[in-house]
Amino acid sequence: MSSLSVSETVKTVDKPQERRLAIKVEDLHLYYRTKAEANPTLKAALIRKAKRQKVEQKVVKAVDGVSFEVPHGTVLGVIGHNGAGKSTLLRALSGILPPTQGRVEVHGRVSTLLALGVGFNQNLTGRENIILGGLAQGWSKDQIREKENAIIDFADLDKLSEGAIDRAMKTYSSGMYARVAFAVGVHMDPDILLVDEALSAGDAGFKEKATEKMLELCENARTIVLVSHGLETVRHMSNHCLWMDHGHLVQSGDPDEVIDAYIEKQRKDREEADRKKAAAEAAEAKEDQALAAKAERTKEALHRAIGEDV
Amino acid sequence: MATATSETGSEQEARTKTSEPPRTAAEQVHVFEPYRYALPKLGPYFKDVWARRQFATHMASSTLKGQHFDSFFGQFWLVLNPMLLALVYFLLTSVLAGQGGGLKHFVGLLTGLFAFFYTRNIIQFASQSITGGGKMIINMSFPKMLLPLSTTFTAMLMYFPTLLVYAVFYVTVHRSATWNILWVVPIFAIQTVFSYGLGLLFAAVTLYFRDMSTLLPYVLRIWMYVSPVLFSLSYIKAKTVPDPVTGHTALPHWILYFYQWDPFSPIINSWNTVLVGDGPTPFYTGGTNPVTHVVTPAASYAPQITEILAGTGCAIVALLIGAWYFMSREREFAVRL
Repeated sequence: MSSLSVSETVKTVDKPQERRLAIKVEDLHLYYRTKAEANPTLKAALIRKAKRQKVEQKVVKAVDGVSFEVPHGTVLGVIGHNGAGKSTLLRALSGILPPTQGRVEVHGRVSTLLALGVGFNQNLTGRENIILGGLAQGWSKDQIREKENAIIDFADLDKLSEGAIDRAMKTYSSGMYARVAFAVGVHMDPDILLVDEALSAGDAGFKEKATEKMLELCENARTIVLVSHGLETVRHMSNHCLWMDHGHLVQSGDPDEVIDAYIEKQRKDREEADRKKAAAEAAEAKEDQALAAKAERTKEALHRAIGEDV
Repeated sequence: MATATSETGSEQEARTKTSEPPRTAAEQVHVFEPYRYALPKLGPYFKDVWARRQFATHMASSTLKGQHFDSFFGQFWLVLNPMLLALVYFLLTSVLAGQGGGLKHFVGLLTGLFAFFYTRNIIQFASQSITGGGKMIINMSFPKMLLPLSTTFTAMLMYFPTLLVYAVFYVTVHRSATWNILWVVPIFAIQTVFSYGLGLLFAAVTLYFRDMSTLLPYVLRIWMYVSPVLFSLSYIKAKTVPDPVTGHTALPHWILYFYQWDPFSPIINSWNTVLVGDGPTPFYTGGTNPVTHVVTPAASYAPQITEILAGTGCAIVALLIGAWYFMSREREFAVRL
């Protein structure tokens, strides 16, 4: 186990020279400049212009100085609390969000499963959406037609509802929707697959199938970056793990070690919170008691003064 | 989009991998670096746009398919819509306003109106394409220009059935046409480029000023009245010539400047000219002038070359400005949404 400073480069395997590099991240910073502008409108802008005011800028450091390298064939699990910068990191890796500072180098064709069913049209059938989703990922119609049957088999909707693939997707349950979307994502033959919480949808049976498929992709020297809150999924699937906290890289290494450390930290945080809460409650109780005593004293004083019951 | 996409690493990569399973595609290397307001490298950018062209066209047809998915008439709405629109304007101009000219005048009106609605749709759809395509932009890396391009195809797919409806009216009224009518093809192309350019501009502007989505329909409607859509340019000119006796003009003279300096004017006026002629009365097609009772030969269907050239110039300028504004800012779109 090794705790790392912010911008230290982390080798994700023992012998990185022997394997091809898939992703190289150098001192990546990604800030969101959320202009604290409640409504970004022409009117507001004109009024500001007239008053010669500037918009107040608030900088959210979603990813703050992260460096690591991933060789091909790695399944990299990324864990951390909500808002730790995991999804932002994935978006930087896929080129969606430009880095504020630093550099990202990606070798190979990237396929993203950041959200399920990107480019899908609810009013069209599952079959039509497979084509649409594939085109959205940058494939040609011919290439998709070749894979269409494999995708449909993988999604295996017939088992759930006969002929569902030729019905409009708005009639699908969320699990069925996720199956089709996931099937499209993993069949696009990517060199690097970036997955964000995609496995959380779908029932146990499908999850197992999806896990198998991802492991199969890895065996073919594909690289997967997996962001998940499902710690057991990460433990089971990945062979390397990153733990992020408030945009920083806390720890990088063997999934078991990192996840155990993360769980330990969470437990401590919870205990700490519990302690604080208990302390706060105790203080409150004490205050209540004091107030009650004071009220009692006042009552007695009144009783003495007036000489009758109050 | 990547600031820089280079494939120089491909050979090297291919040599080093020997024990790994064969891969057909050459290794791509993407480098993402800090953002600045600048155009992306045009070569890789347009290569990527070209590679994903099927996505733009397929999404356009899928959008239309999805729109009328659960309606009774389904895809027939694409023809039904322009027919109902024509009916509305027929009632408005021929029945309620009691204008003469009958069907001929009506067809003349539809000529400019349908063409203008095509441009209006391109701009309006494009302006919503970025703010409405949030889920796609935030989850996928692709040249954003494809989104307004796709909505432009949508507008085009809606325009073709409209032209079919128009053709039926046209043939009923005019019965014959000269070869000059083929000018509609280049004019259509010029108009599409012009509209797409403005679409790109408004797509990006709407992202920065969300008010634009509400404001734009009004801007476009006003624009319709200051373009020679419902009248020909010659008609406006005739109306602004002072009466030799009283010195009054039917329309104030400054109106002419609007019509003349509107960048869309040469395009739409050429379109009107080619189809229904250009003359001192609306949609003048030759014969006896009802005002002066002078018999003149039928209007030429050939457009003025100066107008065609001016229109082409406007289209290129619109495309360049729109594409520059859009492309130099598109990397920021994901952050802005």
